[in-house]
Amino acid sequence: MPQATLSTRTLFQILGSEISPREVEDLLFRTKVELHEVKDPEMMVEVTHDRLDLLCESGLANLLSGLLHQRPLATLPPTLSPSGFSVRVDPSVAPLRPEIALAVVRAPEGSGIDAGLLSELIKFQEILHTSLGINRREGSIGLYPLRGLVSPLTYSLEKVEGLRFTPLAVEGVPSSGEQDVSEFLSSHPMALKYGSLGHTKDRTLVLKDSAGTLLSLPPILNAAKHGEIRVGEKEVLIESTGKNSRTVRDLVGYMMLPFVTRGWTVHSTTNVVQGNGPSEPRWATLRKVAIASSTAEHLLGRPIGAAKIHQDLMAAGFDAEVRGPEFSVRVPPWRPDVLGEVDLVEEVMVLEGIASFPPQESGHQTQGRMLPLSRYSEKLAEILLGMGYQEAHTPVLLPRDLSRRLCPEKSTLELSNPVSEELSVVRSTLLPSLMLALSLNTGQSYPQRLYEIADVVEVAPETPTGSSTRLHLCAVLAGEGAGFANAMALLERLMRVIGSSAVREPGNELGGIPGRVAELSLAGEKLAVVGEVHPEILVDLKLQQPVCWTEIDLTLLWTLKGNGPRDAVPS
Amino acid sequence: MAGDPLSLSLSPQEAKVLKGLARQAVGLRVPEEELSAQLSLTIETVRGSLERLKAKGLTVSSETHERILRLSPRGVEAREKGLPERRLVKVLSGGPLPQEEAQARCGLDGKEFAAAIGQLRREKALRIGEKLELEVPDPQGVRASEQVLGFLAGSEEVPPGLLPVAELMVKRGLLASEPVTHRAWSASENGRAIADLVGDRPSIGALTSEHLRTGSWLTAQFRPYDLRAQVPFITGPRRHEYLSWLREVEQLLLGLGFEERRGPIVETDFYNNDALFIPQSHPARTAQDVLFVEGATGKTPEESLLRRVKNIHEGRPPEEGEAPLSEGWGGEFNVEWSRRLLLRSQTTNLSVRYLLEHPTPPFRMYSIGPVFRRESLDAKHHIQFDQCEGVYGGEGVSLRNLLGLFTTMAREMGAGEVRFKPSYFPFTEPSVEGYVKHPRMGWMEVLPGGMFRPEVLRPLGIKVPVAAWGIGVMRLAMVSLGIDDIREIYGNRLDRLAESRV
Repeated sequence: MPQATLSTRTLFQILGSEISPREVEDLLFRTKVELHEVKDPEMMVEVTHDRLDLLCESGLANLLSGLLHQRPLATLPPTLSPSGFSVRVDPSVAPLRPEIALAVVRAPEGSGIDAGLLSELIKFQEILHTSLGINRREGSIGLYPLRGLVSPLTYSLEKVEGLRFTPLAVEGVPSSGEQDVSEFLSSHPMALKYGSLGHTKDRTLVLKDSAGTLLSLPPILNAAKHGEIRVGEKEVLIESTGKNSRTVRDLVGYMMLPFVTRGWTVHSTTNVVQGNGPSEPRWATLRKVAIASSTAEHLLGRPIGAAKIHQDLMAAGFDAEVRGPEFSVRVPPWRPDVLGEVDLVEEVMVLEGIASFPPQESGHQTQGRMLPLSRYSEKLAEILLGMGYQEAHTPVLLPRDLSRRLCPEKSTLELSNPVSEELSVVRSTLLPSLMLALSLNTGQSYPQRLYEIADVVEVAPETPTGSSTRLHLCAVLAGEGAGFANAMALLERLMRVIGSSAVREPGNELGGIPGRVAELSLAGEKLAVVGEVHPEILVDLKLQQPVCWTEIDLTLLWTLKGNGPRDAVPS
Repeated sequence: MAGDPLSLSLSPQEAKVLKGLARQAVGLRVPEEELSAQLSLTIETVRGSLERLKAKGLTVSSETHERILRLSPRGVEAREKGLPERRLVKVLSGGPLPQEEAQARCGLDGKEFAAAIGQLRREKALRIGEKLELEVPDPQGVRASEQVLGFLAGSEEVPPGLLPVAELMVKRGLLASEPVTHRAWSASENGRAIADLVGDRPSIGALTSEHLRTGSWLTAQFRPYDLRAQVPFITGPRRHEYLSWLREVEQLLLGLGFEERRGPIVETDFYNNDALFIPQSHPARTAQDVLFVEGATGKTPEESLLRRVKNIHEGRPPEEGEAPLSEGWGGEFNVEWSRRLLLRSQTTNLSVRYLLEHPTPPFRMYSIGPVFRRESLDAKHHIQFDQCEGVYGGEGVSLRNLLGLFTTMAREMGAGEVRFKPSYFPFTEPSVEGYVKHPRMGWMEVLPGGMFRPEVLRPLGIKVPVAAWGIGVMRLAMVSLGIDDIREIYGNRLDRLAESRV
């Protein structure tokens, strides 16, 4: 889960009061935040994937304020006032990084960026780059001082040739003054790291204003003068570029939070896409989500009341207009996790506290039951245990080479992205798994008897999953004298107690000694195989004892015995 | 019976000897020779029995040590032919003789002759000049030595006064001196108790079919065994320890009214992810995390189901004319992905398939089975691990019922109190995580679950609330069984499995 190290000083400063580490811990246990460590002046937190807003001091302060004082710190009006700024999106960006979103934030009278806000912005931006932005691939963020910029901006893919740029100083790389973009792209550490996301062979993504000032080369780096945020700044442009509109919208939304929490206002901008006309970002008017108090009460399992639900949602930062038992709330741009009604129900649960919903045994009566095939296979297991066979538990995946020698290739599925050769094929019979189990027991005394009743997967192109998951039974006997007769005697014993008689035919199973493998068919289908394992395989597995095996397709047996489809394994 | 592992079983002779000892007054030690005479058993039999009884802790012994003297072969010869010094005295009694002649007459070899001279000189009975001349006609020392020979030849004890003479004869090799230990025995406290149990009837060691057939056991008595004796080490096949643990979980779920489902291990992306409202852009859906099947695709689900799921992902109304359920995930839903085949990454695919059967509410379903993730292999991680999961749906089912279910599960598994914390899963809302306290490892997240989102239930046509949960049973089993390495579960080591704790 995503993590952040936050400044407790900044947190308490925003919150307006200090609370003890113990109290912080107790409050956060009620939320999706996991507190790892509080060690003044820092605390380490981990949050669930849906709550990236809690990875900055402002987000956490809003959460704590809601829990402690029933009021949020960050609020927005239902409709944002326009900033007058717009961006012209050139169609050339479409193949590489088509989306861009902007917002303008303005400081309250007499205020501006202070050291705490600046540090929070820098850390939060990096966390968003790696998490939601997936290392900037899906989306990246830029912050710019607004003063001196001339609307509209242009976002385009431009020729590198002749383009000059003064890179912003970054940690470990001081600004080297103006240089050719081609030189920057081939040498600067940031360009080497992220360049492939922002340029083609001879063109690069560029954000500039109407006066021709180059702001940045998204998603690589801002320009030194117009792309550097300093303490005291009163107007900031937040920008995000990326692959899809949802990601860039959410990234800009998250970045608003540290500003809005400190009383800054947010102003909308306009995107102009050639041929489509101007469009406003979705947060120009906050989106609304409706909730019925009955939904919350039913899902959470106790009466709460519309008024209390309303109060909880307000405390959680959702501006709500009450119109009886059903009402809508406005969702701020930094809460993209709220998709619908049930997400608000969870907010109510957090604000009320899970502890206020005591566990309750239900009055429903239902009948517990195992599948008939499971019960049936348990009975067969008892027989095998009684005959001295040890139950084994083996992985479904096999080494490719062993599978090729023991599982028929046409009925066996392979993985396209295995982690290792050792676990790269889905077994279609149990024999290879038990042979591996024997090979791990060569230091133990003989004879050895092992059995397993477990799933195998056979290729079945006509089924919806292209495969058939089947329950097999396999027993192996290893030791002096282990041979075909032992395996067949075991099969016959099982067939007697199963109450079926099957036709014995010569088999040509892979891995068996020719002439010493037999198949049993029932109603024309291959039900079971018995045989002696070929010495080549024994030697490869470093087994110095003969091995014989018996394998039965229990799913087939169960079906042939005339049981309904409900009992068969669905595929 | 020979080789009887229970060494306390008494042979008839042992029983007789033990009873003989037990008859004696407490504290009295009986010499073994005496016991032999009393019981009319050979001394060897008595000794053997006493030793075996001692090993069983039934008798105690004390020892006295002494020395016995007997004639050596040279002593026997001296007894028959006379001592060398006597023979010399005899030839010299007729008058002095030169050495060579004296030696020839008494027929002694050089060594014996020298010894004879030495003995007589020691007694100052011989003068050695040009001739050997006897000074005392019948030296006392020679007579004393002859008396010692006489006593020993007659199996009589050498009187104390002659013992210094006998010592010298031992040194001369005429007598042999042997240490002798005399042992006296009594029954131990335990031995007296056992002796009381040993009757005079024939005793039975191992009961045989012949005893039963002939009825001889009726008149016999059973020899008591040493119940603390070592017995052979035996072992044998049984259930796999981890699967046994899983079966207990399964029994718990059956008792709670859950019915079992099994299902495909190779699954389409649709049932594994799409139908669970997991966004197609979710990082855990990439080839970094999921194991895909090579060169095969499945079939898309029924058209109306696919359409509803696609619409919901895109934030549109599930069906025309309906209201959208939520914002959805935006972007365009890729229908092709629905057919991709993969190894299921969660058993929740079975919940979807179960709900598609439209079970009659109220319903409870569980499944236990393998799931697969692209983990790197180490002691704690394997590509394959087992999940146990279930759904519980019905009119009025709420989060509180899920918490109630978790509380019951934790109680039945002996885990005690459960603490709940809000959590996040793409397919449930609200979502919770139940923590239980482990004595060593502290609070552990073990019980995740939540209420299925409408985005999951609506396309499946489920109209009642459904609680869903999924437990990483393998990790829980490892903690519970004290297994530190996940590979031990798949290792199937026979000795470990045979001796694992129940």
